[in-house]
Amino acid sequence: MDDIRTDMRQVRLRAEALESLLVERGLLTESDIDQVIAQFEQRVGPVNGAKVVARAWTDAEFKRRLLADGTDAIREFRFSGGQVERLVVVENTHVEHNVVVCTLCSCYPWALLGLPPRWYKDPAYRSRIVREPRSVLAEMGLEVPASKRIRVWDSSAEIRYMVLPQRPDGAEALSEKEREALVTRDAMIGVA
Amino acid sequence: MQGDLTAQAEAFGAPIANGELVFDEPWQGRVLSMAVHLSDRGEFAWDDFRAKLVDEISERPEEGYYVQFLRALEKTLLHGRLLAATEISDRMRVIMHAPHDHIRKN
Repeated sequence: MDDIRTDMRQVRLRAEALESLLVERGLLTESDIDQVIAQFEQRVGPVNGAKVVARAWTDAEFKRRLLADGTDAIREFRFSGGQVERLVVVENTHVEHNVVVCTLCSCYPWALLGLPPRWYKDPAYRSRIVREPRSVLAEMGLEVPASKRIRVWDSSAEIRYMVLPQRPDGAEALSEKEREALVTRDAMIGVA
Repeated sequence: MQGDLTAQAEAFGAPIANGELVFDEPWQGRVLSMAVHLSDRGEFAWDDFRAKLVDEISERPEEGYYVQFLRALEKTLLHGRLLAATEISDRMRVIMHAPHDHIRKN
């Protein structure tokens, strides 16, 4: 256990191993953990992602860099949380809508978006969003016009995706803080 | 337990902002939740865990709070024979080699 000090990957792995064994023993369930965790406020929230989006909405040069190499572009924000191994940002346009999933488990760009919502881990979302994205999005309250193509991005341990939503009309006239407030977690996953 | 946990955790140096516990990474919230839940269902006494946490903090002051917390939790589980050291390292190896770094939990 002496190698635990410096290597945060080992620490995360150890925490996951404990949880997995305890669940297997029937000593707790994942939902027990979720319930306890829900009682504590999280600093990790979609705030970081909102900053990135708000900046890209008004800074064309930053947006160009963000779409070319997300990992590199967000370095200047100095967010903590090293789990964004490689960040790929995909842009919504008037002809294309993007949505993110992790079909195998729940890989998620949490350094930018905080903890994944419960439905993100739901097997129904993970399988159906790939097969019938338009219906699933409609059920979640987002009607994507038939003229728009929908692209579904499957996250992995190596690559995390984030959606760059379209800039709402009039957003350029707002302050940076006001713009950030317009960006929701669901929009950055692509379900709003 | 949760009501006074924030105050307790603060006393032991847990990061707090605006009166709330804060987590830099999701695993930190999860280990805290595991400890709270297991102690609530009587798998170990919170005071025993806390004593181990106090030891960790004084023995390894250079570590982050939740690394100390995880070590204390692991020691408590080993001490109570809820888990064995070898199965923890075995499971870490399995997870490391599973797709997406994850295995499905039942």
